[in-house]
Amino acid sequence: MSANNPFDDGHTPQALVPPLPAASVNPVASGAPDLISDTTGLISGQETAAPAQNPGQPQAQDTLNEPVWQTIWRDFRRIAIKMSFVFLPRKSRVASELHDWDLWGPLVATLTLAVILSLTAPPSQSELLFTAIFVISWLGGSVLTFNSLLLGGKISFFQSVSLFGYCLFPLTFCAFLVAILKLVLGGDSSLFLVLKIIFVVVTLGWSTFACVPFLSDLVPTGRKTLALYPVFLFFCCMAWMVLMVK
Amino acid sequence: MQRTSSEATISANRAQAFPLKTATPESKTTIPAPPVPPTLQFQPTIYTEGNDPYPFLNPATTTSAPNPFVTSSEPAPPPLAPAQLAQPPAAPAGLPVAPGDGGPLTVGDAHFWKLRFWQRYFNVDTKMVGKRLLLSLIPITDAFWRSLNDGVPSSSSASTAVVDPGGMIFPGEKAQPPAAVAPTLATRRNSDLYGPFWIITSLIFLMGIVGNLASWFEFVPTEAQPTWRYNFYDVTYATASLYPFLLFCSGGLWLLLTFCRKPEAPAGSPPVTSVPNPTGANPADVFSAPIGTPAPAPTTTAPAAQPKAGPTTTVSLVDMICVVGYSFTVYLPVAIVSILPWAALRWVLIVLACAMSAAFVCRNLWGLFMEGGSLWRTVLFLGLYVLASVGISLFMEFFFFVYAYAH
Repeated sequence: MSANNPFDDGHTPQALVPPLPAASVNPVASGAPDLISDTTGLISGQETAAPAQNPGQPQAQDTLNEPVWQTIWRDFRRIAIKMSFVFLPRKSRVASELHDWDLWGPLVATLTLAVILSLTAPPSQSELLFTAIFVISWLGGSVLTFNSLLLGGKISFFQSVSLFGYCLFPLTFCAFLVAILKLVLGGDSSLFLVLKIIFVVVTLGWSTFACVPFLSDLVPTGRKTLALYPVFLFFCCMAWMVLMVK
Repeated sequence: MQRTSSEATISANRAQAFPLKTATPESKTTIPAPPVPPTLQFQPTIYTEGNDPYPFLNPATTTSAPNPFVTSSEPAPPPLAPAQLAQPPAAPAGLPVAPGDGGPLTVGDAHFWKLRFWQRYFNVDTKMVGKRLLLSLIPITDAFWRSLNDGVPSSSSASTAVVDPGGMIFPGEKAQPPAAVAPTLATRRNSDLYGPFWIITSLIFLMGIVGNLASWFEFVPTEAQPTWRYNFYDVTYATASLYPFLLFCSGGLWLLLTFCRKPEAPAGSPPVTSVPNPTGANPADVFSAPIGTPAPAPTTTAPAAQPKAGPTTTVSLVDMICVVGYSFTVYLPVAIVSILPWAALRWVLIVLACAMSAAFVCRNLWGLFMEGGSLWRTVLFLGLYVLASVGISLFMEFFFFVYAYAH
């Protein structure tokens, strides 16, 4: 099934939830399985055999019973970890870590970029700019994914969309830096212009090269350049927007 | 369908499709097929006319019905064997497609909403795209048109892999496709859509940049507009003009090549343009029209003064999109150089690019139009394209290069 379906990477919700220690799952003392809190889908009887793994740590909560801030914090930490892999691309880590894709990271990246740019743009263009950046980044990610798939790449759809979204983080960071520089140096100074161009060029290369190890693993040999050129064009487009907004 | 009966049907189909291999297993070229890993095995649903739930959706199963598009007086082709009626399921998306492998090219093997249908139009590698890009800058030969045959397995050479009607690839197997599929496999061009799409997209992006940079270089603050502003609408205009131009022009050329190339045959003789549809392909399927299908040979009793044979080469819409799309390669360096703030240079460059692009299309399609058509028709049709090309060049010049300059 999964071999035929490009949208399926074998990623199931089970991979998101760490296996629960035995002590946590069994508030009901009897042998009846607690179906409500058994979110992993594992049969409760399986866990009775395993001893508590980390006795020193506080008992891991069930994901349904834990406080909301803890859930949010865990997801946030997850996004931050993946973001760090984009900022410091290492071949083995990127591939394995981005296998568990999520779309929260790309949403944060594109929303932040769009908000920063539309706040710094002149008021007449801010709405258009916000819409353009949001639409271009999501549509562009989809088009790039389809391009890789059509070239014969072995990519799951949302995994790839997630990757391109995470690779926007350097450009978001650049837009943030440029906005701060504009406050410090003023929008008209030539030093600001030079620094802006340098930042944008560096982060453009950064974003593109963060995609290289991932894409080159999954696209057939001899077609890597064909898959990489549209990615470069996409990041060029986003970098141009960061550069041009006054 | 039971698993066992399905397997039996597949093996029967294979025996039917490759009769030589089963008859002479000791043949030198025979390499035993490697054991298929269990994850790659599949059970294809075999649609025949009896059990096809959607007969109107599957062109392959309706071939025995009289085809309204065939105007030939010759009898309809015999219905395809069950081996060709088999619907190969979509291959795994990651299945590495060999560059020389055109994929299974039967009409009914994938529908246009499936990824596999479009994968055949992206069956190029970096070298082939580079070669085509270089050739598209040379308007004096039709080498580009000939390069569209790159990557198509020729029927004479022993190909390294062949896709059987079930869709499985057997490495090292000699290409001996079933007879009904052979003309399609052997003569289809390997036109790609990768080049046209990304060339046009790059051009749109470049024009969005160039138009704004040009206006930025030449901006003079006035009272009405004290500071320069970025104009995001440039990209919108470029998108709304270039993609439709590509589609309409290539569609028009395809229509002219398909319907307006009539041979000047004497009255009374059967129309030689009608090909008896040997592949059972639906003629309405413009994407995979087989090309190079030889027209029926002129009968020996025909008078020697019969002027011309009919057109012997049919083209598909994708071939035309490929030629027209690659003709825009010239505009990419022109758009980059047009950043320089000299209006005269821009005019010279855009005229040069327009001439090269139109000449490229005319040179590559000249032979096709002349084949079975007359000279004046060829000049008229290609002249129409030249006019359209001049139009889009002027549009680009005024809206992106000079229009910004005027502000």
